[in-house]
Amino acid sequence: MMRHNDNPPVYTGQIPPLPLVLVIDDLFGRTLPDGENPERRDLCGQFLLEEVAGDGQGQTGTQRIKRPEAQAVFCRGQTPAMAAIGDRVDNDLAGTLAVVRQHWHPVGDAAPVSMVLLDLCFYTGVVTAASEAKRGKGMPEGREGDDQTKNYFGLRVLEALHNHFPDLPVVILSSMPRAGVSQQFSRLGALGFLPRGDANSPALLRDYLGRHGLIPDASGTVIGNSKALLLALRAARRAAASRKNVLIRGETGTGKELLAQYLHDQTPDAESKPLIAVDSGALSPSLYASELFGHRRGAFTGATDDRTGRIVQANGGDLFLDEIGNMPEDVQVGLLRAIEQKEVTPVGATNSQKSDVRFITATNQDIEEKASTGRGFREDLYYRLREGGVIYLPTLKERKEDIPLLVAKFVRDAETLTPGAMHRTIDPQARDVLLGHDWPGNVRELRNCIFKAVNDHPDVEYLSRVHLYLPTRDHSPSEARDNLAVRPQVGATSPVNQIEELARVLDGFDVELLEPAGLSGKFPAIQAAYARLVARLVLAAVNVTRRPTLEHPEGDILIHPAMKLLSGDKDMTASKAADMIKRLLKLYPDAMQSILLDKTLAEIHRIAVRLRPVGRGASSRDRRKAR
Amino acid sequence: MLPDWQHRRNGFNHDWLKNRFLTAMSSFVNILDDLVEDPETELRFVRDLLPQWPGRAAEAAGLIAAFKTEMSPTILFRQPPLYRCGPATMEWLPGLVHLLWCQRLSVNRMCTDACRAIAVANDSYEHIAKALVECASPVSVETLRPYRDLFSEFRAACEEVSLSISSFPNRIEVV
Repeated sequence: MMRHNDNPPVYTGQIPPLPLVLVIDDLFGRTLPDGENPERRDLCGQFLLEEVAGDGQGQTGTQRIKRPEAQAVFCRGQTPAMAAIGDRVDNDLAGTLAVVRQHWHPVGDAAPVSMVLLDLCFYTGVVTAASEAKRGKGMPEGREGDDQTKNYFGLRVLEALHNHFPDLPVVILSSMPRAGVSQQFSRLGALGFLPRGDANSPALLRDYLGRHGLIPDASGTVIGNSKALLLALRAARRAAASRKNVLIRGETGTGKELLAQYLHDQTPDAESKPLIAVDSGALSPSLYASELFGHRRGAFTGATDDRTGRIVQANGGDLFLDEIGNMPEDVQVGLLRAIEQKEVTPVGATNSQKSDVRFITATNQDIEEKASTGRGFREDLYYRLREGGVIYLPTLKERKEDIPLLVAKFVRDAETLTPGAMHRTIDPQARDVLLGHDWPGNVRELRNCIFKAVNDHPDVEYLSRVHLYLPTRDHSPSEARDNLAVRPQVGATSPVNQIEELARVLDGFDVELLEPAGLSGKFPAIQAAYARLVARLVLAAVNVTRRPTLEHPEGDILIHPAMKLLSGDKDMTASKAADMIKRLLKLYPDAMQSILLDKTLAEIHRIAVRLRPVGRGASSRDRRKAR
Repeated sequence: MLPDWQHRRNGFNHDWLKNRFLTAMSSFVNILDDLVEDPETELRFVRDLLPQWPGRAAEAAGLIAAFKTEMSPTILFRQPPLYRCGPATMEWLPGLVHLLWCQRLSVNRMCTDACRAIAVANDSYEHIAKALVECASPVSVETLRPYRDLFSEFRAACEEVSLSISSFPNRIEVV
């Protein structure tokens, strides 16, 4: 096996400043006894690569790249990595794969290698004075066939990489002619070809990294180094290159709006183009068309002025529409026209306005199902919205390795926003608890959990497990390390256990994280009391957010700000508020009837059901009724 | 088995020109552009590699000159089974095959283009050599920076040499 550095770069808790490339090449990857490889130094100088590791001995000496395109680690792909005259050099597929594995599956929260740059022709055989004079120090004379296309060791490595690490981005870096191998390397999954002698190499490398590399978001908009997230970021960068519409799919709380922001930022000349975001969930059906298309004065009651719609505001740029699955069908017709004909007609207007917009839409619903069955979403619109691709955002459970990075970020944010909060370190036990949780509410739930922990405990230097309010039992460190996301067992056997369970559920009470399963069927009277307590909280929140009007001096019921207040969720929308109310008032169905005897609570519930007849918290009867 | 001409071409174009010379020159141009700092070996290209050009250019010219004889399908008439052709056939067939090969592959044009590329690179090299003589002593990155465009032009010319030599077929083409 080849010699290789046992300590790859680890970026604990940090977003790596640059993408990391692994260069597999006999000439540039070899180690020389005097500690410097001049060809590697030249390659780094040409491609503006900053060597960070590789064979354990930096081979680029005092070279300093002022504005590096990437960091680089090097691997010879042969054994021995350091050869002298008389040594025999052989290709080492197993050793090469081991090096790749080390960088593709790094320990801890380090980012995986962004891209592999792979040479094609590897010379083998004995190192002689003549071979050194011809090819460089430590280079062998070459065996018959080494430089024949069909024998290229690089293609064997490529095939093995394709089989073992199918998601790993590989680009060929060779001085051999592209034409002779283009079919082979394409078939084996290489994403492109970087010719060595090209003067535009840094620009080419930047271009390849942008299109094919797995690169964390250095701007910090989207936090994480996991492969699942990096694949989504790459899909966003690829989509950003065209002006075609993009659909983002992902569960609630996965960060769809942040990904839309990232996609917009990656667009050429993004700074000169607008990004307009519309939270479709916060719009009533009647306001939807006006919001998107604008309206003319007098178009409807309350339309006292002309208003420019969001689509026209986003002209030349991007319009982000969240919760697209809830769009009223009549608005869908107008949106389809806006996409196909690039024009919109404001409500109440007779003339249309031109507007060239890329639509970035998002949903957590099974919109394909809705479109294919024709229930609630137009199929032709669906295909128009996904012309530039569909990007799937992973759940937090699918990217648990990002939790430490996210926690570090949220803790810092929360400390900044909490007056007087001390700067704290994250206790390893707390980290294990956070890693062991399932996070059904995804990143938003994690953020809320951390913010609550900091807000409630501003005067401590450690974020400890006792500060974390999680609705499920904690996991042992070993479970957390194994990433076992085991849900708690609810069937506690002894009364003592049951009371402990009850205490834990009550202690971890959080309206947004509420999981009544912990009480289910054990203490009917307490469960009913619990449900009434929650209902009173809903009522209190609604009462303090009421806005008096002339017609209603006691104030209109505004569920959106009320639920925002109650949950602390800055991203609260009207539809989410409606879902939340339905869920909270239905915590214990047996108590619901008595709760709704209260006139105001009954009205709150009625508003929520009217706004969201179908959705989270709706019963199957509700859904049938809605159809 | 690769013809010897191919090995020699790989030795020049792959091992030396692209892997070492052009890579080092690109890095050096980046040093002149102040994108890279390399205080210990920043002049390695100028001192060690650049002076190799005249000899290597002659090697490249020799390769091109040898192409017509070493890569022509006429050499197949010296190997089985064609070496069994009778003397009468040998009198006219190899010559015809060579003529057809030259025409179909535009061999003369390829050779002329490659020679022209080498000549352009040689001119460019001469400009640099002259500049190095005129350059204030001692030679340093600072004193060479005004000649940055000469290095950039030489690099482009060498890339053309590499491209033109790459365009030659990589096996003996049968016509």
